[in-house]
Formats: sequence, structure tokens, C-alpha cells
Amino acid sequence: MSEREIAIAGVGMTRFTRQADRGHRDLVEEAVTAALTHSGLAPSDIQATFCASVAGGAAIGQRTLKNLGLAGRPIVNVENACASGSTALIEAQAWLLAGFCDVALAVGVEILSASRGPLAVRTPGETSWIFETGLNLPGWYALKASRHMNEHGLTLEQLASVVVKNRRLATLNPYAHFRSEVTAEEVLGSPMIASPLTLYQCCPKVDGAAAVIVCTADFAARHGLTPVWVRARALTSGTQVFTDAPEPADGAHRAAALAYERAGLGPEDLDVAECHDAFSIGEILYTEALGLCADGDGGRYIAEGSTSPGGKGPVVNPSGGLLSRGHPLGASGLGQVAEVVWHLRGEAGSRQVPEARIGAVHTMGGSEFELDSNACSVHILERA
Amino acid sequence: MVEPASLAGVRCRRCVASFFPAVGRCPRCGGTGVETVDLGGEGVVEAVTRIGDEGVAEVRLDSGVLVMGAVDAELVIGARVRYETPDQVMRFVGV
Repeated sequence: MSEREIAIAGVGMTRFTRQADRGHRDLVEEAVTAALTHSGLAPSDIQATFCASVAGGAAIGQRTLKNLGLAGRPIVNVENACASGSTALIEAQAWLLAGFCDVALAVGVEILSASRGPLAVRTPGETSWIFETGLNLPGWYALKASRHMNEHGLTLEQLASVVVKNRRLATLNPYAHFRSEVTAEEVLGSPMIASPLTLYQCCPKVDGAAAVIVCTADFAARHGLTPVWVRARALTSGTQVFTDAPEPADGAHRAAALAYERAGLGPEDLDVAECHDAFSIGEILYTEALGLCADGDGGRYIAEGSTSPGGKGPVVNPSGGLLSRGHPLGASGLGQVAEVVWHLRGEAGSRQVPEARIGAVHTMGGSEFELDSNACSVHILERA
Repeated sequence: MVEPASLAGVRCRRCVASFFPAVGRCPRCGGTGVETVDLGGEGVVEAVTRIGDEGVAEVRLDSGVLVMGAVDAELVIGARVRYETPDQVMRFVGV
């Protein structure tokens, strides 16, 4: 499926920051209006909409889109944990590939900043032997960091280097929540959340929306749109980790391998990538899963600047990542897509990755801890 | 002498693999050709995090199955632990 069948015609997003008082509908209206303007399309051109949210509640799409001239056509609501937005984009493409429509909108929205403390992922009324141990999402990633440190010699300084890099990049991103630099000392000296992960190694809970318009190649040509090609997309879920069976590749490794195979491309072809750094250790693990370096080598690879501007690898998280931009769950994946599309179209302003031709977008979803992940999505995009 | 507490799992004959917790099917292949097995209660800490005053660890049981449980915050990787059942919480203590 490496043909150039599907184009991203336009993207838009709100700044991701603490703005809970705006409400879901206002955030969605800003993101969708921006994507329509970016694409040059009118609301009447959109034939189906896929709306992603984790905590937005029933009929989030219908509630937020009803005043935008999009009602009357299919609206599908999508929940897939932190990968909800990326999954909505895959669903939109599935409708295009099935011939159900020529143009579809994926939009994601989340309001998270109103709640305090680590994200609550427990379903009310449901018990889980894992949650009863005291584990939470930061702790789940902290265990991955603990294992990496023991098995591969990952250091605290390497963990901190991810945050230092991403916060520096975010100073150039007007869509980011945090826009100030931090030092490694500040990262490691911030309050301990789940050892070895300190507060600055955890993404902030913020509010926002992001939107991506996709269309068939034929529609893009007929309407003179500026396409960014979707060369491949892949979606996996994780498998059981509490077993004695030899570990199969985790969902992130499998999604990356599938996406590269379908695109006929490899990690060496990437110029830019947005990667799911909900926690510092995440960017290390998923830089490895994307094949940018060997498994176990991610900490050293990032700390030595390989994925910083001017480094030997693709620039990873030029937006500043989830660690800087924040993580409005349902909107996050589409915000990542927007960032990569801007780079591929040469529209990323002062943070532009020069001559970016191929980009990857990697999004994780997690909270069913008996699996290695709820979901992992990888997209490979190419400039026209 | 108190018998050490043991954890129950499920073993799939087709996948030649055991899983925790015990469920009625093989979680990997969905097959019903499974039997409940005793996974033992002792193992080694493979990863650990401290959240507030509490620890949570991944423990590799001597039977080979990975599990997770609350632990004393002082425990480190490589520590030998055993499963204990003071309440409903999955917990391991140092041995």
C-alpha cells in the first residue's frame, strides 16, 4: 500500500495549554476552522467526520461539530486511549479507501487540566489487581525506565536529556504549553513522581483540539489541493506481558515495522518524526522502536544529540513533544500529525526542519496494563 | 511451618506458555485447551518504582512467569521476594 492514494489536505490545531473554561466546542471550532482554511476547503466539502476523545463523553463529535456546517453527514466518535486521535485518522482513511467518501475530517479534543494529580485511568466500578498495587501511568512508564537502566545502563542524565532537548525545541513552538528551557539539574531536581521519573519528565495535562483533513489523490488533483501523502499507516494493540512465553515484539516495534514495510521505506529515510514522549523514557523506547537506533541504545543516542537539529538522525519532536506541548489525549495524535505536515510543507517557521521530505508520526495509547499497550499507531508521511 | 502462598495461573498446551492471572482461556490464542497451574510464590525483582512511600515491582517468578505487585519501597532490582496475602492487594515481601 505504498501508492500515493491518500493526501492530507490540511491541518489545524489550537495551542495545547490550560484552557478548560473554553469548553470542548470552542476548541473544536478553532481547530476545524484552521484545518479548513489550511486546506482551502469549505465545510460542505467534508463528507464524513471522525471525532476522537477519551473523556469527552458520549456524542462528543455531534456536540462539538453541530454549528460548523458539518451536521447531516456521518459523524463517528472514536476512543482508543492516548492514540484516539491517530486512530480517528486511520478510520477516516479507511472510509476513503473503501470508497465511502472522497474527503474526511479527523478531529480530536480533550479537556484534562481541570483534574488534579496523575491521570485517572481507572474505570469506576471496575477493579483491577494491577491498580490495587498502587500503580498509575507514571509508575507504569517508571517500571520501563527501571528495567532499561538495569538491562542497558540507561542513566538519569540521559533521561533528563530528552526533556532538555524537547523544552528547548518548544521555545520556538507557539502551540506548546511550556515555552521555556529547563536544565538537566532542574529536571532531575523537580519533585519525584514515580522513581526514577521526576515531575518534569511527565507531560503536562492540558486542553486542546487538533484537526486533519484527508482526501483521495483524485480529489486533491481535481481541486488543486496541496497534498502531503500518507505513504503508510499501521495500528496495533499490545499483547500479554504477564507470561513466561518469549516476549513477542511489543506493539510499538510491530507498528513501526508494519508502517515501514507498507511504505517501502525505512528509518534511514526519515527527516523528521513526532514520537509519543508522554514521559522521558517514552521517547527513548520509541526512538528505538522506530529503528532510529538499536534497542537499548536510545538514551545514549538522544543524549549525544542525534535527534536534535543538526544531528545525524531525523529531528525527533521538533514541536517540543508531549513533554512541552502537553497531552490532551484525544487531540494529541492529530497535533503530532499537524506538526509533521507543517515541516513537510515548509510551513514550520523558525523551527522548520530544513528540506524535510519524509516524516513519521508515532502515537501510543496505554492503560490496560496486562497488555504492553492499548494501541500504537505509526504514520509515514511524504511531501508532494 | 506455614506453606508459602502460591499464585495460580493458566497454561496453554498449544502456545506452550503460562499466563497470570488464571483465566478460562489462553489469552494469547483464545483456545480453551488450558489448565490452571501453580506458578509458585517466589521470584526476583526485575524492575521497581517508588510512588510516594509505596513500591511497585515487576517480579519474575521462579516458574518463569512475570507478575507485578506492591513491595516495600526499599527493595531493589535483584532482590528475592515472595508473594504474601495480607489483604486483597497483590504484594511481595523480601525473603
